[in-house]
Amino acid sequence: MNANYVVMIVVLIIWIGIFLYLMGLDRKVKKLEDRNEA
Amino acid sequence: MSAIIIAAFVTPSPMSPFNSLGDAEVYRIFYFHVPQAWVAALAFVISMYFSIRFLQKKDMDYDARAVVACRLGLLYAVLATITGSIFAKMTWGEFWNWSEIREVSIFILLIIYGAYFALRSALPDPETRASLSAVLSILFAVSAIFLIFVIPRAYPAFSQHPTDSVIDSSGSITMGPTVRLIFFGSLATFTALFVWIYSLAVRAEKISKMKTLRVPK
Repeated sequence: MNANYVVMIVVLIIWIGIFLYLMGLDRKVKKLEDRNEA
Repeated sequence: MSAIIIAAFVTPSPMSPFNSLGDAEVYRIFYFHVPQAWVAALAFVISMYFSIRFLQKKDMDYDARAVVACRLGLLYAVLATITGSIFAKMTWGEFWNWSEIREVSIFILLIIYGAYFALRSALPDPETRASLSAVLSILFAVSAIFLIFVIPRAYPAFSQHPTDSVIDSSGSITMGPTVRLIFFGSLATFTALFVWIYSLAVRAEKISKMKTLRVPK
């Protein structure tokens, strides 16, 4: 397999991990904001 | 971002193999390294803006916004240093070279922002901490602009770093249409990602302050 594709897949996996982590964090912060407002 | 990553790796390298130092494929890092450095500079300017607002209004909310921007600026500067070092190893043969002005200037930048956080953690009084770090943030942001954009261009003889990868000395964009599309797409995506993380961090900072206020001593 071309080395470029290997690096691309690794970078994509890292990006998807960061994205999912940020999505989870966003949801958690929203929940805490709602709880503080209530 | 996924589209940018795929485009950066499936299209031909932004550097022609005839003009490249080392493997031309390594120049793909340009799509990520330059936007990281740009976002770091943007974060430091945002921190300066909120530091000025803090000094005007003495509102601690501005201090929180300035600190969060500094934190993210430092994170992006570290990422730009790492990607720059990888590029340096693959093209110039070593990760770090003290005679390379770009590497020295980013090192100074990391040191001064490290000092900013050291100072903040050393001051127990929130008002004093916010005022002093606001002054430092303004001074450091001006230094950051000089260190990132001015000094490396003022002393090109001390740099092997590509100088015309985005614009040449006449101010014209040097990239071809495909490279330009991916590069500016990456720049916009990195900026949008920064805005998202920044707003998230500011909201989290506000919540943590609320919780601190609610905890009885």
